[in-house]
Amino acid sequence: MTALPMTVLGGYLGAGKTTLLNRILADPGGKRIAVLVNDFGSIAVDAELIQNQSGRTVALINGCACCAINGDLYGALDDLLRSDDRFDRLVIEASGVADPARLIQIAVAEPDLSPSGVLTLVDALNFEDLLASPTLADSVCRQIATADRLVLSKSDLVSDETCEMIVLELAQIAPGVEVVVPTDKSFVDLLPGASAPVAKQTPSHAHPAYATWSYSGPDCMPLSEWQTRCRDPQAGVLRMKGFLNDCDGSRHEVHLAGRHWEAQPAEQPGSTALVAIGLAGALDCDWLQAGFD
Amino acid sequence: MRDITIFRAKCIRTMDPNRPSATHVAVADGRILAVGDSDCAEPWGGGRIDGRYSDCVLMPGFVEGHAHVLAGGLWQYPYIGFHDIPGPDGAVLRGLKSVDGVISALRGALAGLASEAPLFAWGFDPIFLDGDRLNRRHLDQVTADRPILILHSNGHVTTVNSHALDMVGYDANTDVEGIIHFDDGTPTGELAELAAQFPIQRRLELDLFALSQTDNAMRNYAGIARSVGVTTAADLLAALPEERMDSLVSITRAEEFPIRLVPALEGIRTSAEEVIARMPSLRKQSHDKLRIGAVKLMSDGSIQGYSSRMLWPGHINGLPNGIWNNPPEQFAAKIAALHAAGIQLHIHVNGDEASELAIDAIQAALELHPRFDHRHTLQHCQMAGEAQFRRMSALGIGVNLFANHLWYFGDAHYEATIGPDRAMRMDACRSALANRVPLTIHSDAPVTPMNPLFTAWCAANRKTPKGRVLGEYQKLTLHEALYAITLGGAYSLNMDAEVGSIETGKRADFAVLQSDPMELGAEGLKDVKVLDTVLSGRPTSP
Repeated sequence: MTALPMTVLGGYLGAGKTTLLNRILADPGGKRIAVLVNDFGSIAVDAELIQNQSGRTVALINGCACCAINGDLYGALDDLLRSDDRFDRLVIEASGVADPARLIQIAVAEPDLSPSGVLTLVDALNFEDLLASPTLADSVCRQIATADRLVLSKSDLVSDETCEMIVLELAQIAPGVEVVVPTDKSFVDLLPGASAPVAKQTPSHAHPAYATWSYSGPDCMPLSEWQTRCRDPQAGVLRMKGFLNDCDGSRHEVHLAGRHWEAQPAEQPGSTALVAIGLAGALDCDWLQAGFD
Repeated sequence: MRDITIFRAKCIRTMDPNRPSATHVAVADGRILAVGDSDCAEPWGGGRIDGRYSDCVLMPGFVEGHAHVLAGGLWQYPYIGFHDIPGPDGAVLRGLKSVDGVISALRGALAGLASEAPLFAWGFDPIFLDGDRLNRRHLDQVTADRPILILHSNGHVTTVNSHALDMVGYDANTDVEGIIHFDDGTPTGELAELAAQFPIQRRLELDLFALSQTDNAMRNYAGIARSVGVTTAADLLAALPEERMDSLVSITRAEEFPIRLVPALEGIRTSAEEVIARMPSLRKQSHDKLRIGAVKLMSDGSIQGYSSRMLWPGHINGLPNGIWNNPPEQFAAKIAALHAAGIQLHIHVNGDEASELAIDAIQAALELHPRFDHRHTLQHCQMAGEAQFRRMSALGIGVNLFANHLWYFGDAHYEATIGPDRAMRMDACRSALANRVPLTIHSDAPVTPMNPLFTAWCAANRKTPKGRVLGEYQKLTLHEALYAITLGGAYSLNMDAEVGSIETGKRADFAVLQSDPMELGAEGLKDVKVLDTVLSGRPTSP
């Protein structure tokens, strides 16, 4: 038998994994797609699409199938590979905290499967909160860093500025990985390695050029002065972070994301080290640098 | 007239502070009627003296609060570990001290197999063996004609022969995480990740879960437990499938079944709603020797597998933090739902970020649904520090610490996983007691061999094979260590009113010992021999 291409679908809770899978199952573009989901609870296949259900597998009349993992991924995979049904592609829904890179290794190892990429969904609405969460940030970053394609969901619910910042941040976590904003058509084409050519869907605002400014050195600056300077519209800063030594001898970890400013005492001594990102042409490096000259 | 048997012993260590030691215990109807001297049963009209244990020391039957029936299921395959371990029939199985010894044991096992059947073996632990690490070339000497698969004792690694590798086409060009390679690029046969093991295991139809779902696995498990003095043992991750319930109930009820079994229903694959729906009918099937009611949850992986969730500063070798089993908010929601349904929870937490999460979740659940004496117990909880124990104390959470890790993995933790500072206070028995957190200790068999006296020795001495002492301060006293494997365990399983000490009214469950642990002292705990057990007043020796 030919190896079944397997894609891992990553992303934290609420990122839209189930929505994406529901749409793919409803409109698989003529492909027979098998989907392994964490549990049936959230999968909402139209009743008239269902051919039959046996055990943890629902077969659809369009040739697709949906199987519940129920905490036993290897058992579900084994069942699928043993069944007589043939599929063109397999999509595995990773749990919200799984490392997709580990899961894709199954397809590298198993002769009956072939790896076909990791697709990670990023929830534009909760992205900043997740990155700020001490218990989740590393898991979320891992999902992003190991993706072959990133899909930004809920981008319509955030401002363009936030969207741009997220795209920037994604580029830092996963350099060179394509970021896609889905439109209403052909969700199946979002899967990496899908045989159909992938129409690259990018938001109108997602392809500006970015510029960065950084400073690392012995100079100090009063915290309040730096806050005023980098938040000044003149500076054109979308995002800034690093460490600042105040002239009074104190040291701060500083962070600016859009309008959100944060400063807290730094835990360890060191020199001033700052990096800022903004749109090319808008980021005023001279203005920022002037604070340290 | 009541039938009263009075067991006479050289000494009885009761674990009852009202009468710490005695020489006679009177038993009626399977329960302890009186404790004291030869005349202790006089107020009840006296009884028949049974002198078979006259030269022995009696203790309450030990309670193993965290082990798995799989420890009995594995016995259908040959054991090839380094350590001597008790077999299900009570005889000690000698460990294999060299790779050659392993090879010849495998040859022997092969001779007894049906032709073409794959050869499985378990319990292997390479770190104790000198010379070349066991690899496919060694296994190929046993046979090249059929697959061999060796399960390592840590539960995470397997070694296979070339035949098994060929089945799935693993060669020098295979680039899969967890496939270990020789210098020439070819696989050694050692497979360190599930992803790398899966293709071979599914083709050999090795199903560890199914191994624990047999009548023999249950009987073997009970046999192993009895041989180390255990009269009450948990099965701390039980699927309890409906089709197995009748035989589970009847096997445990049989007179010759030598332990009380306390399965904790797995709540990992099953949703909280399903667990809550099943629980009333499961509870009804409980009897004297089968106690169903608690649920097991898991939040992270293992420290030695670099998959536990740790707070700063994490692994000393810089490896990334481990992986949550489930999104923390789903995990917390499950705890809240099961807690609100009045269910006791045993929660697997290895790293300190995992224990923190579990404590947070229980606190949130308690704030919504105040509950006294819930007896939620954090299992393993190997990295919790004082601050977490203070919170556990405030919230009524108990702990079952993995004291065996100090010996079996202590050097690895000191050198490779968490470093000296945290290794010296891991499995912090003293911190638990100092903060009044109810404490028991465990083996997690088959991960490490079940033997409560050895587990108590670990907690009281904290020694490692390389001669380290992992934290003088955290050592238990002799009495505390014995309490942890008797009443401590009974408390964690919510059975302390029935078992765990030798006092009037409790079940007549005893461990029969050759020597007196109180005389030998903490250092001698592991040398105390178990000769027999008594369950409900009946000696369990065949």
